[in-house]
Amino acid sequence: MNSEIPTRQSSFLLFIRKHNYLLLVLPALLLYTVFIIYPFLNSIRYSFFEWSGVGPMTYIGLGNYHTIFFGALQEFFVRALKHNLFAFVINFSLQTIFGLGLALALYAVTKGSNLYKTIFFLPNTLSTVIVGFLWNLLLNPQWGMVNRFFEMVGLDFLSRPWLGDPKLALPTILAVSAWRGLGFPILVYLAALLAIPEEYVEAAKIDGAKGFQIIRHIYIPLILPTTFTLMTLSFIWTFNMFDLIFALQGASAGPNYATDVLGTLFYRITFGGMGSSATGMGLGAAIAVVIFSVLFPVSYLLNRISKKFEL
Amino acid sequence: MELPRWRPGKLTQIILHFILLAYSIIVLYPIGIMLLSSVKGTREIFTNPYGWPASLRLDNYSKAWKLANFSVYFQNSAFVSVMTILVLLFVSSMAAYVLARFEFRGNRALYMLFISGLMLPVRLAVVPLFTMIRDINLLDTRTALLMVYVASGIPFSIFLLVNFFKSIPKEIEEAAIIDGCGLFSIYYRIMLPLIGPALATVGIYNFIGTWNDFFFPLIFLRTKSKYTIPLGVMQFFGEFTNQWDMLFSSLTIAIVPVIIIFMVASKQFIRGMTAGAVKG
Amino acid sequence: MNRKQLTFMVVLCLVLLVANSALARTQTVSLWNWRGETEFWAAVEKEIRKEHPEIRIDYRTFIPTEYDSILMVGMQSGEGPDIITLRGGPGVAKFAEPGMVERLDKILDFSLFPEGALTQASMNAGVYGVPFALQTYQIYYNKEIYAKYGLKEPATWDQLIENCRVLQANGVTPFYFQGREGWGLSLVQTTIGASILGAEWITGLVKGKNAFTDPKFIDSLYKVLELKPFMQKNFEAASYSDMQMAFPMEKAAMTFGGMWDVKSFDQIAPEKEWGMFLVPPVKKTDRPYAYAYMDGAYGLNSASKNREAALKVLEFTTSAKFGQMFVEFNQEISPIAGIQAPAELTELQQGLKFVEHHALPDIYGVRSVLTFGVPDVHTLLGAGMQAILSGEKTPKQLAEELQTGIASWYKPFQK
Repeated sequence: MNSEIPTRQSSFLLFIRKHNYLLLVLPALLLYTVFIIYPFLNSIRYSFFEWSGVGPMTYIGLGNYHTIFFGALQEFFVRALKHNLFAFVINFSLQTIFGLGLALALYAVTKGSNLYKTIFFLPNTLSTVIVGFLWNLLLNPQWGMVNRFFEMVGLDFLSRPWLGDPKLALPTILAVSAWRGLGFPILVYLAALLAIPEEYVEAAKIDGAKGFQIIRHIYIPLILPTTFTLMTLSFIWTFNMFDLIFALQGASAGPNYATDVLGTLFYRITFGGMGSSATGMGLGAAIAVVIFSVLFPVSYLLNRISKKFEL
Repeated sequence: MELPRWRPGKLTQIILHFILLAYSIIVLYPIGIMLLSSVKGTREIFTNPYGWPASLRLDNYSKAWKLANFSVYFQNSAFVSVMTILVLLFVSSMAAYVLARFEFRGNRALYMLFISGLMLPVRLAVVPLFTMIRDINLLDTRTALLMVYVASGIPFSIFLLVNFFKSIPKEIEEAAIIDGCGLFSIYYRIMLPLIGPALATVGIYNFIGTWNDFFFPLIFLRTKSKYTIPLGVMQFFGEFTNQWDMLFSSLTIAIVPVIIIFMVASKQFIRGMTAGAVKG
Repeated sequence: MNRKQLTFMVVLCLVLLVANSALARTQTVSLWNWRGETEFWAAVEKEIRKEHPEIRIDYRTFIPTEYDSILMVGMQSGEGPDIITLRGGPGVAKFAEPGMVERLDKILDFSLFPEGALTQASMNAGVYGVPFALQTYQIYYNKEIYAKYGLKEPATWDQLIENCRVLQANGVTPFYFQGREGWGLSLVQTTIGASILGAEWITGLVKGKNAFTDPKFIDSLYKVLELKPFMQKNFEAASYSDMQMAFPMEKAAMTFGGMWDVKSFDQIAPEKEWGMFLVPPVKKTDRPYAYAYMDGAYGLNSASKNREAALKVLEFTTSAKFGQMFVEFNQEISPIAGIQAPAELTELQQGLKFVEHHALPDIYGVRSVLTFGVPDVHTLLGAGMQAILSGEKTPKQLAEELQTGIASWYKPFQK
């Protein structure tokens, strides 16, 4: 081999030879870009078009967004958004009150905590959809075990059409989701409690603090960062809710859209369902972009705030 | 870690146990009812939901298994989940190794690119994903699921693994280079074993997520013989809506293996699934 | 012939045999719908194979509420079935317009089908599907329970309410009602509307002369509320399949149901007798009407790769034999002329009478012209009924919603 004039091709090869480790990054980068980054960018692009999924795409600028915020979809969008916010508030409250409460109980007991931990986390390992189907059976108004239980113990007034009453449907679904998901915050809080340095507790005891005071002044402030992390995750989770509602109420998120959230609205617009097959892929993409525009800044913000609380 | 911590008195202990026990019952009761109902006949479930079955109908399970075609569903779920974590761990550990150990100009930017995926819920990109998968003829294939699951698992995986790689002392690498090991050897024989626990964590986290996922199989799969378990159960519920003995049996079949594996390896499970939210 | 020539002949024969069987090898025609008819199509396949042994039918059923979206996605991705089961009315136009299904009236023989049946499977004078079922919706009642309390089929609406009162006074739930699924509620309202509003008024509605906001229509919404006190406890959460089980299990004396429900009822309680009557009108002198509609039609996928085989199957569906099989297997009404219901299927015979003598000439709910655009009356009515029953909306509000919603695209409503 004699000396070559460095052509573009060979200097590229030289670059690869020198930095051959970059090849190791390539597979991940490729997969990630093709299946995550590219579709995301495309989502934004599709949102400016009217498109049924196949055939011609018509450019309509901000038309889809207009439909969502001011047009035919406004009523549905606002209602779904309200339901997501409601879900977040309830979900976060439940996980903070009961998650932290049960974690404190686990922290304080002298034995059995391992067994409890395993039991509490069990529902988290189950598929959301399967949990939904199970509870659909349990909550059946005619034969479901829940209503039967209430009737058997004489609490007849508690035998309600849980999933059929517009006022009860969403709270019921949130209760089911809590049944499934509480194990996670419980264990996360427990780990955070266990990570509190002993000196703090010792110092408090020396100062004569009793049980509740220790909780209020030592534990709770020190787990604030964890609370923020859990709040962020709760926010992300409730804004992505779909599986459970789909399993319990179908894509139409009844009764009368009482359980409609952004996720089910998105699915319905994009893929149809419930007897209709309206596929507005452009409109669906626009909804996705809107959801994302809410999700990203808020979770980013919450993440920053939680970092600030870290000692 | 046992720290000297606040240990309230005996009376409080009893109250606490009471509370914990109460919640345990709330958790276990529905599962118990499911198991109980799965060995009853449909009529019995309606007339005697809480009682002990007149006769243990264990053949409900074999009937549901055949009717629902569970062996196919289990195979599909297993295939997709196992392949996903194999590919994911391989691909992301390679990338994480490079990002953690090598200094080059785009390192920081590349890392941020990957990490930004943590904030991107992949489901929202489903419209272009769907049309893209359809246009490259991969609709209704398990391969499509595989690609999407691996891609969506990369951000978290890289996030965790980079941190782990960074904690390995440089001397080990230097010794290997002196010994004449090539790049891939170093990665494969030395680095990978050292991050075993982290790989297990990422593996479990993604395995469960993939095994339980319902959304992407719903979007991508059309042929029953390719369905994963959650989708298969949905199909079954739609076809046999009124046969409650079959419904409960199918739920049991779908859930019990997961429960058993969880009971056996609960510590690893918990560690894997709470990773990222729990410090340390 | 020497050995060489003999071998050649043998080989040639073998090759021809193989080629022939390869030519006649199985041709699988795929067919999708929402009706759960696995056994039926297996029997149809068997029947077709008597004449065309190479045909196989790959039948797939989907959950009714997801069928439409699964089908659309399948068609768009080119993975659709050879034979598509189209929902009647707009369901046909939806696929006929973009040319996804082929025009059939020049290819198949539709002589056994009455005009009315074909129009609901047509677009612009071309027929795009083979209609297969006519559905009616009515009130079923448990004959034993009725006899026990000396009740007769009501001739007026007030008599129906009176029947309900008697039942309730005796501790029997009058109606088992499914309140969970919108489409079922829409059907109930239109079934009630059929008799309460009458054929003339409904035809006027469809033509734009009458409006949903007319007091007469609002009254028909109130009629559903009149039944509310007579529904079972927690009816709001009862699903359609719950009703299909509960009624034959005698949880109530009456229920609203379609022709297709008889089969489910008989599966649960084969020995019981079901009576059926149309919703009675307000005045004794008025005529009760049946809400009858074309459930669906079989269409040929334009992109089908098995066109010849699919056409053979479709040909069979236009025959009297198919109509007979359909009636016997599914106990539903076939549009094919001259099919007799077997004597023991009393409900089916009753249903045929309803169709013959009481069918509405124009319908205003599911499968009607008011469902050709968005928002469609079926979806609005379904969710709207849930709102009315829970008290979230008043009937007047729903009527206004219906009128403005349909008027946004339905020309006769736009003055």
